[in-house]
Amino acid sequence: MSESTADHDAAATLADQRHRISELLDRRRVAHARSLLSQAFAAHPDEAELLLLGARADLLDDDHHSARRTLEHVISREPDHLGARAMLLSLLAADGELVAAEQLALSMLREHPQSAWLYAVYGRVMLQALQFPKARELAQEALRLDPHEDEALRLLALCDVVERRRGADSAALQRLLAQNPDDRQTLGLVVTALIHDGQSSAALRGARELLRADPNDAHWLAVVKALTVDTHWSLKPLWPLQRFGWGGSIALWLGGIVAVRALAQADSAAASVLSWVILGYVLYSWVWPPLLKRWLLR
Amino acid sequence: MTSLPRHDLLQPSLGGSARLAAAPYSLGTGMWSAFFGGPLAATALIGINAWRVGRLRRDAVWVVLLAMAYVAWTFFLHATPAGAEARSTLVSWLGSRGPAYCDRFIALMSFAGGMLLHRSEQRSADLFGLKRPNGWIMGVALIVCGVVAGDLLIFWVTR
Repeated sequence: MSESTADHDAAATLADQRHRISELLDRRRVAHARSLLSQAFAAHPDEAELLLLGARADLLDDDHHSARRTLEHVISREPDHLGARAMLLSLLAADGELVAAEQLALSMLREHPQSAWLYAVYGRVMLQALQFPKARELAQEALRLDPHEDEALRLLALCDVVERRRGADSAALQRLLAQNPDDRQTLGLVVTALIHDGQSSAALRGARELLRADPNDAHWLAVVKALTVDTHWSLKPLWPLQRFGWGGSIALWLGGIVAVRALAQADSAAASVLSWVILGYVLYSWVWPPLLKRWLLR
Repeated sequence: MTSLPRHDLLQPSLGGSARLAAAPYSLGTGMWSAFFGGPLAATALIGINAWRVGRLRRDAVWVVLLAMAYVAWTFFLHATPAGAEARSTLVSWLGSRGPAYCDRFIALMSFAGGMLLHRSEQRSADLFGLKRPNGWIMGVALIVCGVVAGDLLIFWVTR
C-alpha cells in the first residue's frame, strides 16, 4: 500500500471518528464521546478539531475552565481558527466576561466584515450587556447582510421578548418558525417568549416537546418541572398573580383595602368577612405554591 | 450586491471608562421596600437600579420628579388647610390609617413606575440568568431609611 493511500485512509478514519463523536455530543452522551475521544487522541494528540470536540464535552459537563484552556491552546496554535474563536466567544459571554467577549467579537468582525452570523453573535453579547438599541441594530444589520440568517432572527426575537409585552407575537419569531419549524432552538425561543408572556400552559406543551427530543437536557427538565407546578389545578385561583406578576399583587392589595373600607361603610360584618377572605387568599398565595412544589417534585 | 456594513456598529460599547451594566435588584425587593419603606424608599430603589443598569442619566429626571412630587404632597397634606381637609376626608373614607394607606398607594405606584421603566432590564436579567445583588440587605436598609426619612419630612413640613 502506498504512503498516500495510507494517509488518505487515516484522514477518512479521523473524519469518521470526529463525526461519531460530534453526533454523540449532540445527544449529550458525553461519557461515550470521551472514550472515543481518548482513542482518537492516541493517534492524533494535537488535532484542532478533536480538541474542539473535547472542549464541547467539557462544556456539556459544565467544566468551563477546562474548555477555555483547550480553546486558548487551539487559538494559540491557530490564531485564525474561526470555530475555536466562536466557541470561546460563546464561553466568555456565558461566563459574564462581556468586555472580553466584545473585544473578541469585534476582532472577528474586522476580519469578516460581511459575516451576518458574527453581527448576530455580537448583538447577543450586547443584549446580555443590557445595550438594547445596539443589539437590535446589530440584528437588523445582520439581516441586511443576509435576510435569512437564523442567528439574526433569533437575536431579533430575543430583543422582542425582552423589550415587548407580547414577545410570542414577534414577527422575527414567526419568520424563524416558518423557516425552521422543527428547530430546537426556535422552539426554545417560543417557550421562553410564552413564559415571559405568562402563558404557562402553552409554554409547558412546548417545553415537554423539547424534553422529549432530549430527555437528558437539565435546563428543559427544570423548566418542565417549574411549569408543571405553575399549571397545577390547585393554583388556578392564583391566575391573576401568575399572569400579571407584581402588578397583580399591587392591584390585589389596593383593591382589597378600597373594597373593605367601602363595604365597611355599608355593612361592617360583610367587610370583616371580605377582609378574612382576602387575607386567606394572600396566605394561600404565599404558603401553598412552595408546599405544592415540594410535594410534586419530591 | 450587499452594500458595505455599518462601521459605527463596530465601535466598542463596553470596557474603557464605561461602567458595565449589572442586573437590577429583583422586583420582590422593590415591592417589599416600597410597601414597608414608603415612597422615598421606592424612589431611592429606582435610582439605585437606574445606576446599576447604566441609565442613571436618562432616569434621573424621573427620580427627581418623584421625590419632589412626594415632598410637595407631604407639604400639602400636613402643612396646608386644604391638606387638613383632605386628611380628614381620607380618615372618613379609609379609617384612622387613611393617610398611611395613601402613602402606601403612592409608594406602590412609584414601584410600578420603576417596574415599567426597567422592564426590559428585568426581563433580560431573568432571560440571561444575570446574578442579582442580595436584596435583603438593600431592602432592610431602604425600609429603615425610607421610614425615618418620611417621618423627618413630616416633622420638617409641620414644624
